[in-house]
Amino acid sequence: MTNLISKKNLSADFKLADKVIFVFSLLLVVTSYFYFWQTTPASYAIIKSPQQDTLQVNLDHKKIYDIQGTLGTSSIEVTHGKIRFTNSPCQNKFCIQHGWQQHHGELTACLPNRVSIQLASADKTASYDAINF
Amino acid sequence: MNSLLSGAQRLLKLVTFILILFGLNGCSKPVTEFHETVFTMGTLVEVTIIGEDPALTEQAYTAILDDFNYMHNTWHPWQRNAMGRVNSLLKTGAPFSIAPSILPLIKQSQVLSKKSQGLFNPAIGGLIKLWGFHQDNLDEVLGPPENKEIQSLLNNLPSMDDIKFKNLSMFGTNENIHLDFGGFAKGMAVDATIEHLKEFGIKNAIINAGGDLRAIGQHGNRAWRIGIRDPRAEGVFASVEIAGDESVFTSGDYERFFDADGKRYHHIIDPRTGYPANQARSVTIMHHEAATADAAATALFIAGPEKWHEIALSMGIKYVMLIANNGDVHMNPAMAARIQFTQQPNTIKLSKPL
Repeated sequence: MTNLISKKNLSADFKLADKVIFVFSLLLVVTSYFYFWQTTPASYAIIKSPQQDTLQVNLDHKKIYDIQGTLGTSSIEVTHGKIRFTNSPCQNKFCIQHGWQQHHGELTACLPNRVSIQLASADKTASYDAINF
Repeated sequence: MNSLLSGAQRLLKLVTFILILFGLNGCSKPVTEFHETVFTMGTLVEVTIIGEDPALTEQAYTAILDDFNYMHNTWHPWQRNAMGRVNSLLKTGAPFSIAPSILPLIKQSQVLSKKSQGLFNPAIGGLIKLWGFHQDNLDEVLGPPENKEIQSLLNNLPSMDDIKFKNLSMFGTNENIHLDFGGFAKGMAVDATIEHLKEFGIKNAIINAGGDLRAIGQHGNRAWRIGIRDPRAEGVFASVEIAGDESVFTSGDYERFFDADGKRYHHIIDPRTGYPANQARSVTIMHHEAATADAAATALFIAGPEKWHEIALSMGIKYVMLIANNGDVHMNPAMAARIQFTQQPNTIKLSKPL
């Protein structure tokens, strides 16, 4: 024998369930957006040069690093989560024009001086695996 | 007896199921990651390999470093090497034996040059040198060349059709020809090294040569996420996901340039005018092969907003994003469906499908 549920009761339960599912789905969408699509700030940078040991620098402090490259010294500024070239012995200064880098996966370099900066994050859910430019 | 579950009971089961799914995701094994950068091919190359045995990864990485060094030394257009020999002999018009290390570059670029209606033209090395962009760095470039020097080259402009083959010989039919594969060689190198990684059994990797890349597989249990840098500002302005085997290449007016008399001159020379192309800020292409993506990025940059669609159709390109001089973004619908903007452009112009 089939239990018949009154049309009124079924309607009331369905509405409540609908509301809960709607709110839950909305939370899921918002959470997914922040999880997948927000850029991840870098927490450290790896500075490389063939003339000296590789440096891993925390971005959460303020300092200027003088890095010896093949042409001379490149100056690299770190401040409050960002890093940039401020001086370099190359003529065209492309590295300086790149400006501040602050997101996981970003990469900049002074090619003539062979000095590179790669940004990374300790957060393994960081947003970009590589940067195209 | 059949009983219908109440709405609340169905909801409880649904929520429990979803929570279990999230819980299982947390139980996935962490993937091993290999990440190295190296200066080679005149740029910074970034190699990422995911989820492989460390010894195999190291072996594969060492092998592709050797590949890059070989290709850089062999294909450099202005050094005393196989390419230098080919360039010297092409000018004479006399037949010479085909150089096996250079042949793939020539053959593939002949096909692509034709499909691009000559906008991709590696035979204009003489024009590139006139502008000073043949050097690895631009320290010694003082300014643009004289217009009469440019016009002199344009009057007898070489093309890839000026290289002929007969049996096991090749010869040139234009004394002005000088092959400079520039960025195209980078695309070919990325393709070759990705194929070499596959031969080692590597399934998930990215090779990023100075910002132009090809990715295979995926990152653990998700697609690769590629950020696209803003051509005029700091940081990333768009991103795209890649899974499988795909290349992302961008040509832009910000990559190699010099300033003279308050004006900027960049390295992408329009073979029709002899001057740097001036219709776009950047073009981003997605395509399976890196070499094709590389050639297409150059050709479509030169083509500009009016002609890019026609050239993309001709070259078989399915995903294009062009940023015009005024900042307008031009895309085909398939690209628009894949691109996620972190900074929404003021104007996006959608073309017909490709």
